[in-house]
Amino acid sequence: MGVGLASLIHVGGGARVYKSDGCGTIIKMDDFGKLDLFTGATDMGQGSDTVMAQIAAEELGLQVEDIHVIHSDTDVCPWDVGAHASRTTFVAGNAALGAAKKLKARILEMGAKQLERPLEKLVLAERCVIDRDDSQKRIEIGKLLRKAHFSHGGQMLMAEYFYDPSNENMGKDFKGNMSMTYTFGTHGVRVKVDEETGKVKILKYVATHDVGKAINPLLLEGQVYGGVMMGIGYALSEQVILEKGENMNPNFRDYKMLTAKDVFPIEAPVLETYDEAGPYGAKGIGEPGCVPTAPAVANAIYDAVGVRIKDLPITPEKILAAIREKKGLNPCGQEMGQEDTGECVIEE
Amino acid sequence: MSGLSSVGKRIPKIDAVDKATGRAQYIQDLKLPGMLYGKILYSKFPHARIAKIDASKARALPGVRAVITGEDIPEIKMGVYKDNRPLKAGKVRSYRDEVAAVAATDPQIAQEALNLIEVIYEPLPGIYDPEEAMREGAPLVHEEHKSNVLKMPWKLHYGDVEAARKEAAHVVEDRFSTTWVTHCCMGTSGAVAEFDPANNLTVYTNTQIPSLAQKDFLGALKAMGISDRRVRVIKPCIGGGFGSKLDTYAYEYIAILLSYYTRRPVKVDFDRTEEFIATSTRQPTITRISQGCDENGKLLFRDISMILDNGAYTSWGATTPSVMMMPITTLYRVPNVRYEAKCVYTNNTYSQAMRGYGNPQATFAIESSMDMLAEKAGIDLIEFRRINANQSGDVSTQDLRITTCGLEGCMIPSKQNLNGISPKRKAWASD
Repeated sequence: MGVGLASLIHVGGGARVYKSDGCGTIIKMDDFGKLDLFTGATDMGQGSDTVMAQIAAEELGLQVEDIHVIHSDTDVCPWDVGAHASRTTFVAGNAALGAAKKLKARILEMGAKQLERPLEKLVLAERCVIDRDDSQKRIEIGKLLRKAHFSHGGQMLMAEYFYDPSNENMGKDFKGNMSMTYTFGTHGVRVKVDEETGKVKILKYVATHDVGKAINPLLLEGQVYGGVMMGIGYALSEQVILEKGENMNPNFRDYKMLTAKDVFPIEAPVLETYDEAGPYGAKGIGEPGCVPTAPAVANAIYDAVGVRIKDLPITPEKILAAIREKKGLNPCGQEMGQEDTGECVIEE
Repeated sequence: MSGLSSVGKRIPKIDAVDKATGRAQYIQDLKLPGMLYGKILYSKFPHARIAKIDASKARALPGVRAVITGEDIPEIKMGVYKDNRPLKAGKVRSYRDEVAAVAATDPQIAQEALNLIEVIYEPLPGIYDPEEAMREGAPLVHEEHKSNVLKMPWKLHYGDVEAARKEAAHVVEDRFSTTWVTHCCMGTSGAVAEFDPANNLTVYTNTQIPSLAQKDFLGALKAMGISDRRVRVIKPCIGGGFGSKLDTYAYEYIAILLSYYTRRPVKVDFDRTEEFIATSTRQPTITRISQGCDENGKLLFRDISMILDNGAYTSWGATTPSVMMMPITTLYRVPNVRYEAKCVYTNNTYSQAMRGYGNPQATFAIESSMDMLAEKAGIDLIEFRRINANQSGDVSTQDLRITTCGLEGCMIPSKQNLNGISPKRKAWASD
């Protein structure tokens, strides 16, 4: 048994690697108080559509199910540099927030007229414009919009916002603040190593991240769990085997990705430092789950059996050979100098 | 923040039910009227001249609507370094090199047609180890580059590493290496391309970069002699990206070309074997690292040199050193830092972006070495990291501005929940 840990820093507030690190959002509200949100962001399973909906719903006093997120089409959606650098919650989130704020200002203005209350007394909540002092005094946002739409000189509620963070391209000397904020974290792991076989069992994994603010703790944990599993695969088992350039294992039988049956207990505590630049204080968390995983495991293996493997993946063969070498044996467990060289072949 | 009603809540993904029930439409589900199926013929050698391609038998097969080779198509340049083409002409540089492509009315016919394409290769000596590829006289992957080492500027030195090394009470030095791994997205790659009668192009593709892909595809149209036309990129549901879809790829351009020549929508999509063989990996690295600290455990310097196996062509993988610079200069406070990375052409598969973008490779070396240094200095592993932890308000040597930093706090759960990480490493050396 052994324990090990490793920490990480990663970009958490966009990354200016292209001329623009921006993302646009367009929102429009229909006559019934429902919102279409057109984002440049790309949801590829990580859940960014949900996060965009949460941010817009929060700002406009709506429910998440009131928001339809459309991210699928360059003819319809604004520009975005891409789903990379753990930037979507931060950059696309700020773009969605900016557009929602613009709409919110107009709704409040309309509500102030309708309710005959000063603007600063009003809030958006429960799909209504509500008087802060007298919550009975309220008007449904949909109703308010219908009044504005179906009247002389009618108007609809639409807004756009393009958010391009003020992070910097790196200069010639590679100096420059490439991200608006940085995500930090520490991963700790407890392992059991079988000294007879070199096999590693992960007993427990604790991956703690400073995420600024967890917009959606459920999806955030999903990102961390997935990242950790990917990172453990990287640490222990995954490798594309190329022999003179030829892929020898192009299938899931021979390429050892971890599966659901390999899952071990993972904890993903969150530290909320609330970063001013982030939407509701959030930093990006897309990639960090798999960043310090391999060294945390390598350090734990060293703690367990006293051998340090410096070449990924850390397969049982490598561990066993190192344990035997430490005992003065060859990789097949024979005394040095007495081995029958013809019979000692370990292939990975 | 208080009184939040949506933000901060454990809300399930809004598309979860669609995905769980099969309602979600992926590229594999897409079928347009009159759509043809494209298939790609890959190289049989890792490095060879293409002496001759005879596609006449394939073209004669009923159901085949187009067969294209590198010689037939306009020169479309792809990738970060523009050193790649959708179909290779003259020579192949890796097993995944696309040599020819077929569009047919049925995927089986397209596959059959591939088998009828005759390619005569003249094999060339290959190079598979980046360190060997750097040696004088090694076979050149791209002759016009004169060297296998890419002309990329990855080199920095902040402070004075050599002076700090002399000052250091404890120094460790080692070599770490990593190999190829791949994204293993549940959804395999694929694209459908379609031209309207006015030559406006629509590409359905599971890309992570719709706007940059639009720009790349406009570039392809230009190379094809089509100017002033629109490109529309439509993303179906994407079954995972992890960086794999951060570039545009040969299969997308092949779908575009086949669609252009046949005037029909053309789909190219990968099966799992093709996904393993013909998509890009994380870049393998060889890292030499030394770090030193004073007698109190304060880090004085970090010195890293790295070799990256670029493979035969250049995608974003070659730019990962720009992100590696972040942990190298700024994971913990380090006053003196030196870093140099060389990306080297080989006849292996070429690398791309993958979750972490170089950071996992760099952090593997840094954090393994941190452990070794703590042990050498006789300092508790967590205490050593705490001494050197970044703090809110720090500006690192690379000018990264740390606005908020919870690193020290992040160490606590590991310490508590793992029932106390060993207070001091057992002295293995004396075992």
